[in-house]
Amino acid sequence: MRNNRISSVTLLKATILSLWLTMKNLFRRPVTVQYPATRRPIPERWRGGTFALTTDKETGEENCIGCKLCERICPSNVITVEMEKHSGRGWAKSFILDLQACIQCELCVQVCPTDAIVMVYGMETPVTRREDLILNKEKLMANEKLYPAAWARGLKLQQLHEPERGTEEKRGVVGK
Amino acid sequence: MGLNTSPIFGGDGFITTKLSAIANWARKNSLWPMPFGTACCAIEMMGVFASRFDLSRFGAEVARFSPRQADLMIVSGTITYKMASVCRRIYDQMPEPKWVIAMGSCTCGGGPFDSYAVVQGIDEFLPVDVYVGGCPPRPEALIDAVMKIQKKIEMQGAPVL
Repeated sequence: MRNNRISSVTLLKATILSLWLTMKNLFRRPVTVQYPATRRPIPERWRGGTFALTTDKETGEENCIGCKLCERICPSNVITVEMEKHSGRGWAKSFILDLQACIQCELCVQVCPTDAIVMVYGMETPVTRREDLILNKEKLMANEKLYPAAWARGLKLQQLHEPERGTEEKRGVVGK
Repeated sequence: MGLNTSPIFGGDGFITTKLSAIANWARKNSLWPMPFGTACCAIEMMGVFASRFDLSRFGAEVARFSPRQADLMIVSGTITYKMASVCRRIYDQMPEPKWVIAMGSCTCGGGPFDSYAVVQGIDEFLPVDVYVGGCPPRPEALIDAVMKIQKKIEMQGAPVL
């Protein structure tokens, strides 16, 4: 039968190695983020905050035309838009975004044809009343001025999905 | 009580109110959470307990898996109707005073699961103190929620907005 005893040299080596690891961690910089005092930087393409409805920079009109594309694509059905038509275009009569069940998938931003709804870098704050999680149009419009807008915009994302112009002729797909 | 209502100590219930203030100070700084993690929000909750965010800075690091020793219930994850009775029973087993945090969209309002099996918001069967939206919320949001609970305890149960 083999002798299963560990030699004292191996034991000493292992002890020194583990103590060395402890020593290294003792003098390392602490990893803790002291949260309310210091905040982690938010990554550029981060999504997960609240939403905002944008207004046109030049005319000051709201961008939303009430087309209900966001309402249709939302997987949790949290967006409700009412449309009204006057002065040559559509408007959102009411726009309710219910953050209670929002999963921050950003699909509403992706489909928006007028860059009206955007996500913002503002952190979602905990609330004590459930009604506070429901964002109406006034709150969404106010969010635009409160927080910086996120990277993603509807038209920007739609352009990324489009194929380059002329590529189909080059590939010979057209006219085959 | 002669001493409690004595005018030397300021009249009505001076000692009891001061005692409850001291008790609330102690409760505030040693919230022991009961992690009720059923889904992916629980991963984020583990992150809050770990060294990067370190909930022990707020005195809430002792995660108690026995409801008898806990006073803050963090419900993180989808609660189905089958789980609801378990959740309620664990809440009932916690000693008073107790608080509840609803973490994540699923607990706040059902999330994307608009189905017959999922409870549309745990406040259908639990008295929730703080709602944290997000899918999942950032660890900072949960820390904010714990701070809000602490403020609520400090203000002796008055609603914090």
